Amino acid sequence: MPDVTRKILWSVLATGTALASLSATPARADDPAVAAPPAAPAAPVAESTTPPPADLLARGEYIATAGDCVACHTAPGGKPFAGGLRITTPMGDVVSTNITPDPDHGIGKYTEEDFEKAVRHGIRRDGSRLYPAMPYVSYSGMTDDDVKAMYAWFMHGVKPVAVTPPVTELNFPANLRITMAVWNMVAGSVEPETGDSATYDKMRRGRYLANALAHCGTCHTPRNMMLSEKEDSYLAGAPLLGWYAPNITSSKTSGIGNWSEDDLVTYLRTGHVAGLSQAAGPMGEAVEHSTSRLTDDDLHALAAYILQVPAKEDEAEHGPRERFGQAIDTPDIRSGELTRIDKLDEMTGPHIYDANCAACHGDNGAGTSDHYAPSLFHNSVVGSAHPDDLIMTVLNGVDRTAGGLHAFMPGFDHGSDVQRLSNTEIAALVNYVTATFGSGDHGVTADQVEKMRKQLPKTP
Amino acid sequence: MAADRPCFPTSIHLSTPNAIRMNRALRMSRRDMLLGAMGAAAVVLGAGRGVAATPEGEDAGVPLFLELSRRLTDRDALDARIGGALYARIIQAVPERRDQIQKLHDLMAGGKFDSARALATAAEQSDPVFKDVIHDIMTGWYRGVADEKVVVYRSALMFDITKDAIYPKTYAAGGPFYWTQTPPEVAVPTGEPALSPSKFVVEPT
Amino acid sequence: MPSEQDLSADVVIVGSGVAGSSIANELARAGISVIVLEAGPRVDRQHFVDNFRNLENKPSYQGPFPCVPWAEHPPNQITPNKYLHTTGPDAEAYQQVYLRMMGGTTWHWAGCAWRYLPSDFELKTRYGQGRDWALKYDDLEPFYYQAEVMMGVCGPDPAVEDLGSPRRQPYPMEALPISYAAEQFRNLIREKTPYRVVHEPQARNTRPYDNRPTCEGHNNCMPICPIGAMYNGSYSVYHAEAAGAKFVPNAVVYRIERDSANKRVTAVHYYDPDKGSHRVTGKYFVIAAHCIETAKLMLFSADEQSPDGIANSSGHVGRNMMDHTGVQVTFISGDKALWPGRGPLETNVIDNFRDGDWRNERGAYLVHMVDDNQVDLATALAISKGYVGRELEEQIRYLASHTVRLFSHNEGLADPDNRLTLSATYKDALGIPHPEVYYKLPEYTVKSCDHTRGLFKDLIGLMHGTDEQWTPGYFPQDHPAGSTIMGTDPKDSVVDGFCRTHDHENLFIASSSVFSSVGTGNITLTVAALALRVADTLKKELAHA
Repeated sequence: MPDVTRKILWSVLATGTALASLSATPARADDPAVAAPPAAPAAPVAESTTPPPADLLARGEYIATAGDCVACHTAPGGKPFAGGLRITTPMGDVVSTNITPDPDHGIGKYTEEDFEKAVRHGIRRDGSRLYPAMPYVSYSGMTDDDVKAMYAWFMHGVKPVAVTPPVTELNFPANLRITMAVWNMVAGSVEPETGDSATYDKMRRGRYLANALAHCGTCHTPRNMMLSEKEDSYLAGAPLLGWYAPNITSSKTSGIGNWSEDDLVTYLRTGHVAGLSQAAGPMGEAVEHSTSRLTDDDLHALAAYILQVPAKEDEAEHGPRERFGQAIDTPDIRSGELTRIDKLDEMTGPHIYDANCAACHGDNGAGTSDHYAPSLFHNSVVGSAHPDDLIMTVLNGVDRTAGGLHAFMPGFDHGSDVQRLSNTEIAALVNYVTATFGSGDHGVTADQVEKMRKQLPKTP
Repeated sequence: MAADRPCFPTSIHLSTPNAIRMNRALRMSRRDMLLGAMGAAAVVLGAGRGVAATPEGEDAGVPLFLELSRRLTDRDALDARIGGALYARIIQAVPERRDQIQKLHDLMAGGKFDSARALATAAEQSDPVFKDVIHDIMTGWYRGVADEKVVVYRSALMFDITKDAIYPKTYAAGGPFYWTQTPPEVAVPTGEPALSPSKFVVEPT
Repeated sequence: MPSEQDLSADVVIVGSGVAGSSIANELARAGISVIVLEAGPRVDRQHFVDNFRNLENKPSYQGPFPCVPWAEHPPNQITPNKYLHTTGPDAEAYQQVYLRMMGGTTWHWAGCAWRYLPSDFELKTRYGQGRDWALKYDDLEPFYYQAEVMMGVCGPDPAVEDLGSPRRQPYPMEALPISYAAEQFRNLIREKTPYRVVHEPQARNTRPYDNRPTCEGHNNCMPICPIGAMYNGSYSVYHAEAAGAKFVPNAVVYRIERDSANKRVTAVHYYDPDKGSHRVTGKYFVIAAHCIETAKLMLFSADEQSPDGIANSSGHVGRNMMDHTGVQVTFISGDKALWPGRGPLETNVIDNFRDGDWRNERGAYLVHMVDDNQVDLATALAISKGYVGRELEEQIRYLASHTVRLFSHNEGLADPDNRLTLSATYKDALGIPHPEVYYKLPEYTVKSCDHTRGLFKDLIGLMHGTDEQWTPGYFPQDHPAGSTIMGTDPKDSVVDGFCRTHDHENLFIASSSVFSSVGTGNITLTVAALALRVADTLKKELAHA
């Protein structure tokens, strides 16, 4: 499971100082201070004999899926929830922790109270603070019942893995977890929802899913100077580690105000809606691991809630980004000349498109007739005034399994087996594609591409 | 006359592979010499995208060539950009073609030909050289080739008339496994050829 | 300019095709230092795709790859040729093409990834013909699977369609759904003949695999897959480089240096494009330079110690040249429209003649129905027939949808008289002689081809075919083999069962040049399996060293 998803958080960092990691190493088994937690409502798993009822476990698993815990807590090719996802940040390597119920390497010694404190308040078992990369500010809105269910599932439904990932080592000042306490005072938390979340009406359920679980705002809401989400810009779009989590407010020009509830449900279930958009990068992973696994009712609730979020305009966007462009009809007039095999000269934008992209996306940009390769016009990613996601897609490709389909496009970065394009070539290509099928030539430069190339996930 | 025409090229049965290959090699060397003289006149992919007018587009012969081409393809509309590029290539390879195209156009203008076939039949009867001119025009529009060089590939008419069934190689747009679907049936053609048959050589690879 | 000190590694490999690069990848991943010397340049896909579209003679799969002067390869299959000079009664039947560049000839192959049959390794024992290999199918089976995983091979479930080569593991990917045209052919054969059509195993993605996309049926496996859905050696080059192997492009090896006892190779020497000479030392050496170039290099390296060439005490270097020389027919089907050319090029075969008791007197063969886009051919043909306008368009549609092409791979046989030598007349820009091959089709193969023609005639009848057009004579399949033949006896063979040369204990050959017989399946998978076995041997020996 190659998960870049929560690297999002790091890009948040790119805008300000340096926070980072998901959490530190878990409390050690030989930690005597917590041997007998006074008011623990449930004993640690090691002492538990009767497993919790199946419906509680199922609910816990579902909540964990909606919260997309696996995205960050699994290394590429690693065992689920065993941690080890490594992300390079300017402040050092951040490594996610093992949250399997292994008592020595994971959270097997956590009581339900310990668990609740970590999930909702960002305080780990030894009392130190988690870096806010762990979206506990969002999770603080979870109901008691859902935390309880999730705890039960993590303790009984997840296979223990006896591996401790490398310790996160950050540079000053992010290495001082006390910094996080200060941050916490500013970022604060929200009151937990109450009652049984399964019985909420549609809009309340949608809000709960969007905020307390799926934590949409973590990526889609811009941050203030203190790296907290800007409340007045909820879901208005923000850059993240090279990608750009777009404005998904109800704005018709800048957001997704032209999408129907069904459109958004389809998108969250499959990662693709023909004529609108498709998910790659972090959102592709969120779809694959989380939203594609939600129930229809929950998807509709989530979609209905998102679609009523107040419109926030983006001055850069001059029209609905999914409505730009059309199929082109240009004859492929050719030189008829062949180049010697060692002549690897850089080509022009249209030429690069023809040689690398047209095979799947069509000479006219219409994609394949079954939409396996999407159309490039009427495509939010191409039409956006922020070319970040297009550049990142060219570099990184698409690899998303959802809705019964494995969508795949090779990347064209320096590690590509299919074709390795230079920064200049990618800039020329992206400018050609947005000028031809999108909202115009955004003047992407080779330097810009180089910067984004550096944000690509490292292969293990 | 028609009865004498072989239904399928027979010449290949009589040729040794080597003869075919030599033939091809000789043609290639002639072509190579021509190409050497052509220099930088080539139109390149992408030039049509944004360049307002190519020098070829200004040639007075192009409108005649297009008009003639429309008749010989039985089509009302042809792409003028392709026409300009084809014309340039054809007259570059064989300069006499400029005059011959003009004369063939005159022939067309001087009569009333309601089909490609009518014009082509009359043209060959009037002067055998017109058969070569018509071959050049057909090869240009349908195969996208002039002077044995690619002028257009995917935009060649041969792909337009088969697009309900098949894609040009490297431009398949059906998505994975489209090929399992049933393609359209094709009736046995009933139309007659217009020109006398020519030797057909499968080019050696 | 690298100094000589820089150019030393545990293992030095000559050639970066599927054989050389896969060995390099295996060794580098095991922490062994590797240098790969490639005569040709680094290349990329986008320029080949562009060249293909600019190529007038589209079926010329060598066409999009104009060579560099310091590492020429045959420009085409035309005899006489500008590079590979063939002679003898069947000179034209040995007019092979191949590519000298990073990644090798699999840049243009159709991805057909056959395992050989167990009987192919024991031709002499079972049928009294040709030679046995110095290994058995079972020795190679694990490496076949390793090669299939490396390349990403799709193929049928053996329980449903047994291809005759026993498997311990299923294919890494499910078989490719065959095209409408192939399905019609398959049905016809099943209903009207005692034969069968099987899914051809192919190194082609039927799902995303190894960071490459699913096949989209561009019908252009040869000369260039535009999207990377088909394996080629360049992926192994990239993977090996990522693992730490060092590849040197434009390094034309011209000399193999040995110790005074002539038992161990001590270095190879290469020319750069300006003919500057460089020496590369190592503990082990692998020549993986394609059947023709491997033999050429070993002959050209002749010196006082080895006047007949390297590893050539048997005199068999350059001999026993084999291929799947075949027959081909094109005709117009009288049945429903087939529209060949939708999907990959080669997906289905008749495999009934891959083995049988009759192999004691005639060679085996397999039959491909080529699923090749016929629109361009149909157009050229219809124009030559004199059609214009509306009637021309009718003809193009009809011919393009009804043209059927069948061709066969017929089994060659090791004959020492079929021989590669260094041209006394022609030399390349570096002064290295061109290869010359004398070829006379073995009687065994001629009989096999005759049998194939009979089958083709039957099939044409069944399809109510007309206008049949037989490609004259025999034509080369670009599956050259045998030039450094494998055997147990150093007196009549060049390498042993581990592809180690009998004469030099640290010199291996990874190429179809070691094949003792050529069977009927495309050779690449067997080349890769043998190469991976060489890598396995080297890993073990270096671990003990």
